[in-house]
Amino acid sequence: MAGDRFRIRISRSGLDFEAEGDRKFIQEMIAKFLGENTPAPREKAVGGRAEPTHHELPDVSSKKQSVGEFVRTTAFKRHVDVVLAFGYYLEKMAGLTSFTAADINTCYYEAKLESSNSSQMLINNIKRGLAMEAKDQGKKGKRSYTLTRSGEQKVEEVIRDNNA
Amino acid sequence: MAKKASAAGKSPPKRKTGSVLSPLFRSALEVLEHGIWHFFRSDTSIDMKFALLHVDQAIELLLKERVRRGGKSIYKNPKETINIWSAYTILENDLACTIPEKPDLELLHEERNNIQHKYSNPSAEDAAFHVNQAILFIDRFCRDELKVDLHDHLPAEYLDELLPKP
Repeated sequence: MAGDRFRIRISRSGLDFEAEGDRKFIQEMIAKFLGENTPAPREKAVGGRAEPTHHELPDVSSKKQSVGEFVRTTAFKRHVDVVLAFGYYLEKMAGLTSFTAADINTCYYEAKLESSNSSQMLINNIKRGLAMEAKDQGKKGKRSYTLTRSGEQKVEEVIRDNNA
Repeated sequence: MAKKASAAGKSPPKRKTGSVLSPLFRSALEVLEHGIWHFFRSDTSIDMKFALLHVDQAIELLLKERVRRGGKSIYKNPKETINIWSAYTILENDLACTIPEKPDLELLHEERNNIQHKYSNPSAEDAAFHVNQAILFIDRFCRDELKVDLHDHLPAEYLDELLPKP
């Protein structure tokens, strides 16, 4: 009977899971999905029943945020501030020790934002004391930049205020 | 057929009323604004190229405007106007108008010549130097020599990024 077939789709924060088949197959696939994506499977039971499935979903809160998602959390409007946020993202989330204007341009592209003159915006951030030239200058003679402590604090304050 | 008074959906930039701008000065502001637009649009060499061409042209027109306001002709013959070098000479020798920024403006004009007459592709860093120095000069020159506040004629978002905070 057609009613024996099930279809399930779970989409959450960049993780997609989809399965179709009979009940046993679906349960096996869910178990496999959870097994592969949950760091430490928990065997919790409430009142003799297993917790609802959505509690078993993998913890994706630690998953790396995209640059587009990140810059939108800052709600920055001016390009000079957006470039500062990109610099923060590159250093704190992408793991770079310094970045170039070309890296900032890549962030604009990946965040699907209209670009600006990144070099000028970096100069303006240096004038504001929020960025500085990095000691280890980039390859091919390209200038590298890094955020100052004040620059990091400015971004962190804005994120904190927006989340409050 | 009579033209409509204004283009649909677009309002002109808010400018101070009360005095009519000379066509020379108005043209200088137009090319300056367009040059800055290119400058902020991206840091590609194409945008930097047009930014430098337009900003240098704006400076030449502003110098000519000062020559005109000083009662001197901007024509060297009935068909040709003076170039930027003649404008400097007239301003310095005939109108006692000193331009301490001239060494920087000369470098910009040289870069402009390399773009206009050859195939120069200016880097974003070089363009940033030229445009920043040029805007500082234009702001000072408009205020001191032309008695005009640049903030009344150019978008604030441009000037905020280019001029030091008062």
